[in-house]
Amino acid sequence: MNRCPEPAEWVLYAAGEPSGTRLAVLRAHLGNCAACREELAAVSRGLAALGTLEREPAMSAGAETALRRRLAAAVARKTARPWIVALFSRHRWTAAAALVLWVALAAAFFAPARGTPHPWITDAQVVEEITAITAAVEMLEVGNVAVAQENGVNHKSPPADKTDDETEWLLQELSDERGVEG
Amino acid sequence: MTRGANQPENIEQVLVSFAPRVYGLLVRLIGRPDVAEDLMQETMLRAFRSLETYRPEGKFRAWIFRIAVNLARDWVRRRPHEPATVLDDPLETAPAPSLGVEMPPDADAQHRDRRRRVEVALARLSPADREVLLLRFYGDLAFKDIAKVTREPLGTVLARAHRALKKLGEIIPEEEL
Repeated sequence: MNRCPEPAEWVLYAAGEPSGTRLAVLRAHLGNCAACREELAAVSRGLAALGTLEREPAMSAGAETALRRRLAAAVARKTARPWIVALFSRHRWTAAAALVLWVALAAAFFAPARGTPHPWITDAQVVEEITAITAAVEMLEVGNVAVAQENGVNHKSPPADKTDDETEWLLQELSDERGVEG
Repeated sequence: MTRGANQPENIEQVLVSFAPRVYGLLVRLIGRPDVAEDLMQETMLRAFRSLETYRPEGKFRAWIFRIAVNLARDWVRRRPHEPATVLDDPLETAPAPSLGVEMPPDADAQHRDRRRRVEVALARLSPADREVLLLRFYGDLAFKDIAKVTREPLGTVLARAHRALKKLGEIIPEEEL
């Protein structure tokens, strides 16, 4: 190696982290480069200085006790949790994704066909409504004829071909009855 | 972590065993022993509560220290002036700063003096540089793991470590080491 490595690489070297191949290259370079040896010595001094610190400094007397107490309470809460809550908590993101997917599929399945003029009513409901209205009109018609016969009024027969004029005919019938009563 | 360590009671023991080192990191990051103790407890409780989010392919220790670093950063962000006045120029205050860490009573005077000088030099580093060295020392983390904890590229982390270590190395003569 002719070129010096990046100075920061000596940090890895001093910490013992380079891979085997790289380690051999760096070692070989150190043998020929005084500047890099000095660089490595400076970094190693820094690591040694850092090592003078206390690795596990003492905490206050009650700190560890308080930590144990709080952790024990957390453990108790966790073990007392119903299994279904624990399961949902563990897989909450999966559950949320499944819920979103389910809602999207349901919306796609139940959504009305594009271009339907009255999305709030289906074709079957329209047929049902028309049938009910027709039956009601027929009942009204039968009732009117019966009342007219009871009153001795000559009831005209409806036109043979029931057309759109049926409503008009019924209105005329009612008007005639009112004339008789008057 | 092994499967057995996944039981809540075992995890409790593991977390307690990490407590002194996490405290060491926190007290040197923020310079307040009382706050560091609170944050250490909060770190452990958060780790316990969010064990479901821990991915076994990562290092458990790195995960714990990442929670601690995030809490320390949040605390400093919320109260930016408090640690700065304590840590930036501790030599101006008498008595000499200890950054909240008690010396063992049997430590000899030279060792105590050297340690104090290191503490002062450490306190004078930029927070980001100091964070890298403390993660290395207290977390015993490889630099690639430190890069994950600090969410910085490995090159940046190494540059920080290089700069910070050279500054620390300058305060202690070679013959003392």
